[in-house]
Amino acid sequence: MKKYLPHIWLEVYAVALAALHLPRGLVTDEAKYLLNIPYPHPPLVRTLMNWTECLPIQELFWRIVIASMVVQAVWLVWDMGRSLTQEQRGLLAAGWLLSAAIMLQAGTILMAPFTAVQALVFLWLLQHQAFVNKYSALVALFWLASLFTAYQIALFIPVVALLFWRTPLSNTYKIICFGVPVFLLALYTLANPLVPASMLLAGTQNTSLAAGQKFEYVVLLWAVGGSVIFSALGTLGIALKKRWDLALCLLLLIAYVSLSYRPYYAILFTPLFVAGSLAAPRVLCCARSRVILLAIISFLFVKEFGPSLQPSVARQVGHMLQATPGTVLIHGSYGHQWQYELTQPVRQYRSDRTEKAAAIICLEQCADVPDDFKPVMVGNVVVWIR
Amino acid sequence: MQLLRQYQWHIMTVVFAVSLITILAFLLPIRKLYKSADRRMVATQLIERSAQQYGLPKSDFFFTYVGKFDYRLCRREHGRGKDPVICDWHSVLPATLK
Repeated sequence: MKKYLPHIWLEVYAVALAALHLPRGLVTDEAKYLLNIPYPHPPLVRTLMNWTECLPIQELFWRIVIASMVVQAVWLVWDMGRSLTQEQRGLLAAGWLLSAAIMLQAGTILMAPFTAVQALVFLWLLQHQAFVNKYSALVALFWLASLFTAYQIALFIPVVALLFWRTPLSNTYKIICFGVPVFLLALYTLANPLVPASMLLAGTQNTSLAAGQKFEYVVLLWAVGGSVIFSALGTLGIALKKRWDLALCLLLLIAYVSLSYRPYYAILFTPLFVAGSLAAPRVLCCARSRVILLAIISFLFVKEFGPSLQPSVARQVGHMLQATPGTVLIHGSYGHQWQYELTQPVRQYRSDRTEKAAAIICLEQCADVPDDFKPVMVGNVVVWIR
Repeated sequence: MQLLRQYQWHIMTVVFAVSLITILAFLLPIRKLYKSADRRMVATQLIERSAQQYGLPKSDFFFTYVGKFDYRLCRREHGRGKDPVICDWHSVLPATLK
């Protein structure tokens, strides 16, 4: 029993991280995956998520699964640090577990936590070249699965390319293992014209920002990725040991987030900080004080950027309209959380569609609402109910 | 594990082949979208018109077939417990393509 105690404590921690996001409910990107909406990411994980649609606790289920995967990935970190002293190893594991990105994002239903864990697996494989040499085809399949989970794993291409490059396989096999998954993803992208369109949209949305603002975003993600302390140690390790593979990944990641900023990309930095700190173990000193500092900074980040404890307006309206038949019309730009929370078909509001409508939700001011609808305020949103 | 090691290349080949065939099955019926700017324009107009008509976002529409003058446009009705994909054929006369 004592042997399993760390696993149990880690699982308790994972459930707590998942529970952090429960009161608020889903955000638009989370609902997008649970509803299997086919953009912008490839289909592997979102299809699996959609298969669990019949579960009444689908949201809770995936929050716990993802949080457990991210938290239990610390065993990979633990194994990566087997040549370190116990104290250094502890700091490395704490760097993963207590980083603000892990605390904030482990319980989110997004692709970024999957990509972070997949990146960590590739970095772990980099230390286990004998395993890669033995099971190159299976590693190629894992590369395919990672690419078909989210495009962002492409930011770790230098590490994956290095993995296959080091194998004793012939050049043809190396190209097949590395290149065929990339080719299949490119073909998939062509088969879904919406994907490149939404990627282009997401990729250019930061172009109008001033350079200073972009820099601020990048620094924020870098800081959250390792709660400043671990971020600094990881970056220092990469620079000191001149690990060009990691440095290239870090540069790709920085370039990517400066073009398309999302707060949840912070978790993509964390595996690089693990590998960076490990590259120069002497940066992993003064473990006890650093762990305390790390925990304090992470707590402050969670307090500042953590999810609200109030249920979202979409969830409140969803509960209110639960048993009402008819369609729901929404005026204004609405997120996928509305489609997830409402049991009725959701349509854009237009005055000629009100005949079969059960309710009209005005995210912007509505005009021409028929007289048989009565207004109810939910948060800052007016809901007109027949 | 020994068995897995022995057959890993077979497994990889099968997975790659199945993935390729599946992707091509989706890509080939709409390949004309990439061949002709006129058809791309018609496709965009069809999506815009349908999005207006049904009150759904444009991202809920996708093509499963693009022919010389025939387009099969599908729409998704998202929501928990319902994921029907409803498809319609649209015949666009040659004059529209000019």
